[in-house]
Amino acid sequence: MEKMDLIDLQRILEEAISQAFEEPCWVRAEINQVSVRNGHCHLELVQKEEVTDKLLAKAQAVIWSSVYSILNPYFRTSTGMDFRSGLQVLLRVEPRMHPLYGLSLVVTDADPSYTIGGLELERRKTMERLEQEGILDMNRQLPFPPVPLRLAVISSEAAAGYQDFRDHIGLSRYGFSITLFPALMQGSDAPSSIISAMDQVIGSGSDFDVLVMIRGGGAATDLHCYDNYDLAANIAQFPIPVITGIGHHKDVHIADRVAHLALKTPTAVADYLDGHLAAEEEGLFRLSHNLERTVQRRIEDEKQSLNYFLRDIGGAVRWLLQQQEHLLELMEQRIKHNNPMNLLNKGYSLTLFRGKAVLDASLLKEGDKVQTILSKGSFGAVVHDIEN
Amino acid sequence: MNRKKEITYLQARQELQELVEELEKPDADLGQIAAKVKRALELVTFCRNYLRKVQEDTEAIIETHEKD
Repeated sequence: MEKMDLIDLQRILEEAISQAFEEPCWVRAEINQVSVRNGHCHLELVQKEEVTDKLLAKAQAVIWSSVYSILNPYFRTSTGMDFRSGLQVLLRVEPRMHPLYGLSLVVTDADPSYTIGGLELERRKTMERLEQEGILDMNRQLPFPPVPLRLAVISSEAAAGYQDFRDHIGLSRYGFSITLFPALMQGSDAPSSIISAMDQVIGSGSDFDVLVMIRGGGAATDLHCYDNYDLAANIAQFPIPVITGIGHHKDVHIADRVAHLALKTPTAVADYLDGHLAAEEEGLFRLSHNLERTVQRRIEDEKQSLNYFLRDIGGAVRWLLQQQEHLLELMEQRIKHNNPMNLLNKGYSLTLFRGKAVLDASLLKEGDKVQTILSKGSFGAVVHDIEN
Repeated sequence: MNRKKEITYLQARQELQELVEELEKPDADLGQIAAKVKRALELVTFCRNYLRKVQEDTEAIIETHEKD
C-alpha cells in the first residue's frame, strides 16, 4: 500500500470536497458557540436529536468579515438578535478543506425567516406550557394597589432608561420611593440575572407595592430573553404586580404578556404610575366633596323639619289660646247678661226690702219701708195700696 | 273682695267661673252684684292679657329658633 505525507492526504480531501460542492448548499443547524475575532465570525454548528438532545453532528463554520459586516446587520434587523448560541439557523455554506486548518463551512448567506419561524414556534410552546401550568394570568389577576408608591425597580444601573424613569418619577408631586435591584437587561444571560434580582426583591424583606422592570435603553437588539420560559414563569408568579417597560418596537414578548401591565418605555411606566395616583386622588376628592354635600343636604332637611315642628308648636299654642279666649268670651257674655244694671238702664227699677229684691207684693204690708234702685241713684218709699 | 297679689291663670279662671255661677243664681245677693260683676270683668281682662302675653312669648321664641 502506497504511503503518503499528511499534506498529500489533505490535498486529496481538499480536491474531493471542492469537486463535490461546486455549488453552495443550504444547511439547517443550531449554533452551539459563537466568537468574533478580527471581524470574522467563527461558529460551532451542531445538530441534536430532537427528543433526547443527543449530539448527532458538529462542524466549524466561519463568516468572513467581508460577509459578516453585511450579513450580521441584516440578520439582526430581521430577527431582532445577533448570531448566538441556541439559535436555529438556515445558512448557505461552501464546505472548504484546508490542509492546515481542516474542514470548515464558509457561510455566504443566512435565511432569517427560518430563525424567526423557529423562535415563533418556541414562543408558542412556551405560552402553551404557561397556560397548561395555570400560571399565565396569575400576575395579571393580582389586584393593583390603589397607591403604588413603594417601587422595586429591576434595571441596569447606569442605563439611560433607568435615569429617564428616575427623572420622570422625580417630577411627580407624589412621594415615590425607588429601590433598584440591578440586573442585566438583555442578552442570553438576562433571564437568570433578572430572576436573581427578583429573588432579591422578595428576600429584601421590604414591602413593595409594584415591581417595575425596565430595560436600560439603547437599540432593541437581543430581546429574545423576554420570551424565556423561566423568566416568564417567575414574573407570572411574582407576588406583587409587575410592570414592564422593556422598550421594544416590534411584537409583544411573553414577559410582557404575563406581567400585570406592559408599557413601551420606562418613561411611560413613570407617567402611568403618576397618572394612577392622580386619578386616585381625584376620586378621593370627589368622594369627600360628595360627602360634604350629602351632609349639608341632610342638615338642611333636618332644619326644615325642625321649622315644621316649630310651626306645629305655634299652631298648637294658637289653637289652645283661641279656645281659652272663646271660654273667656262666653263667660264675659254671661256676666254682662246677668248684670241688673242693663235692665235699670232701660227704665226698669229694682225694689229692695231688707236688702232683698221684692218679687211678690203679697210679702209686703202697708207701712213697710222699701228702697228703690234706679239706673242712677235710689230713693226710699213707704208701702201703701198693695195689690196682689 | 280684695284683689290677690299673685294669681295664676288657672286660679283666675276658677274664680271667674265661680263668680259667673253665683251671678246666675236666682237668689243672688243683689247688694254684692255690682262688686262681683266688676271683679269678674277684671278677671276677664287679666286672663285676656295673660293669653296675649303667652301668645307673644311663644311667637318670639319660635321666631328666634326659626332663624337658622
